[in-house]
Formats: sequence, structure tokens, C-alpha cells
Amino acid sequence: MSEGFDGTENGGGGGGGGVGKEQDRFLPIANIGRIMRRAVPENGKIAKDSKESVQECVSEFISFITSEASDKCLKEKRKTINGDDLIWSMGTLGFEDYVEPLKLYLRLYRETEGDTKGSRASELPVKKDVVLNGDPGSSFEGM
Amino acid sequence: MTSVVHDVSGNHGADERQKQQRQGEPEDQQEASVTSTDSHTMVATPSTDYATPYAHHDMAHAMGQIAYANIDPYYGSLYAAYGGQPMMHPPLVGMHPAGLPLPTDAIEEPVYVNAKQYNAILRRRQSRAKAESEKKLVKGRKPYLHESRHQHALKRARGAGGRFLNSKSDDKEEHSDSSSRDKQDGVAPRDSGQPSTSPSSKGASSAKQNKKSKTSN
Repeated sequence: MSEGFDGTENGGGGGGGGVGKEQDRFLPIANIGRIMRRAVPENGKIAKDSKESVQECVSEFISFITSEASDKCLKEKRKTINGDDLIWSMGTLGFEDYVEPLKLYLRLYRETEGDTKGSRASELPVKKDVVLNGDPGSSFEGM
Repeated sequence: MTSVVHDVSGNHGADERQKQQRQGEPEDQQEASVTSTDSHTMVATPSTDYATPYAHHDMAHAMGQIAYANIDPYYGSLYAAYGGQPMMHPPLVGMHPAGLPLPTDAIEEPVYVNAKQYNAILRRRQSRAKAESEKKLVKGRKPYLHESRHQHALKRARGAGGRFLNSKSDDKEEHSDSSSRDKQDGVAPRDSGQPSTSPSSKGASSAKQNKKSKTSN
């Protein structure tokens, strides 16, 4: 159980690595600023504390969804969280409106990127993109 | 230590509700926590609960120009009618009429959350407490991630207003800034902190730092 929690923390934070590092629990703030800029007029500016607030909210949202998916995988004795688990997790936590758009997105993603199921390297982009795309205004971010 | 962790957890719970509901909700919920009444009132007036959200929404629009201090009397009366159910919104699918009270260490009223998220919120609180005990969580924020880049930024020449001096013209600068918006980079290093008091120059410096870091990569 505790191992799952650790995995959730690292996975939600955008990759494991050093202990106590800011990168372990937050998405890169530059990318968040770019996404936020899409909703702001051309001449508008975004304060740094606004980006930091959204950074914390988005990172916690990812951990929230991933924690539920991780719990499901633990019960089913599976070690890999895939996109379907995350979509199921959002449905379970009350984000039903996101389920159908994300199912469509995941299907299109697998058709274009190729579905190498079981490979961890290909799972991480799926997980990140699916969760990020849940927010309106977000777009595909190539790795 | 424990109370600090729980305070943070409460804030995160609020953030989750913010994500799920409309933008005006946080203030309403804060008001509800102060003026909410017992469940008897809710049971006694079920029709009022279903009718009030729309009126409240209209009133929120009408009071867009009013200062925050003047909002309390109206919201207080509205939440008396609510009967302590601030999250009731008929249009939302899957929203339970009565949310589960989420336990907090604070002395004030409990925070009501979506019943579907109750267990997940508690699990996340445990995860954060565990990470806190293992000192994996960094308290506060470092102004920069890389010492060498920070030192380099300190050495660069700055013009009026604190912006970096460079050989590019203003027009080209604007163009490159807009082009960087369309790029979809992977994981980029966090911008170095800038010792500047101007928000606009801070943003500009961050953009330049970002471009420079990409070039170095």
C-alpha cells in the first residue's frame, strides 16, 4: 500500500528522481504558463504567483486522479497504470463530463502514436497527456 | 506539525472543489461555512434549496461591481435559505444533494465535499502526510533551480526597468515571444528567479531565460 502511494507521488509529480526536489511534485511552470496564456488576450500578462497557484492545483489534480487509478491497479494486481485506468478514475471521482472526450482522445492518440501496451516508456506520455487534456484550453504536448 | 499538514490538506480540498465547480463558488463556500444552519432547516425547505441557486447566480452577476465587504449581508441571508448546502447545483450531473462532511482539525464548520471524492481526499491527505514525514515535500519555493544559471543571470547587463540588455530589436523580440507561445516543448527547466520589482519585466525576463535555456539544450 505504501509503495503505491510513493508511486503516486512520483508519478503525479512528473517523474521520480532526487528526494525533496521541486521537480518531483510539480509540473514545469513554463509549460503551465504557456497553457494559461491561451486563455488570456494577446496583450495580457500572467503574474508569477498565478502560475504557481495553477501549478499546485494542476499537480494536485494529477495526483488525485492517479491515486484513485493506482488504488484500482493495486486491487487488480496490476503494476501499470494505463490511460483507461485514468479515465475510469475520473468517472469514479465525479468528473463524468471528461470521460467521453478523453476516451475519444485516447483512441485517436493510440491510432496515431501506436499502442505498445505494457511498455512503460509509452505509458507515461499517455498518462500525462490524458490528464492534461482534461482541462479546457489544454493541447497536446509532444515529448 | 500535524495541524499544518491538515491545513494544507483543507486548502487542497478547496482547490479540488474549485476545479469542479464554477468560478464563483469559493467565496460562496466560505460564506456557507460561517452561516450554515442545521439539517432540520434543509429538510424543512427542500423546494427552496432547488430554487435558490439560479437566483443566487443572477445576484452574483448583478453584484459584480460591489466591493467584497458589501457582499456579506446578502450571502448570509441566501445561505440561511440554503440550509447549509452550498454545493447544491441541479444542472451538475452526478452531484449528490447532500455532500459528506469532511473532517478537519479546524474549529469551524466542516467542509462539505462530493461524496464520490471523499475517500480519495482522505487517501491524498495520508499520502501528503507521509511525504511530509519523509521530508519529500519542499516547504516554500526556491527562487531558482540551478545555481549556475542564477549566477549567470545576475551577471547579465540590465537596462532601465531591470530588463536584460541584448542586441535584438524590439520588433524581433515581440515576434520571438509570440513564436515561443506556439511551441510545444517537453519538460523544460524552471525559469531562474529574477530580483526585480516590476511584474512586467519579471515576465519578460522569464521568457528570455526560457529561450536561452532552450538554446543551451
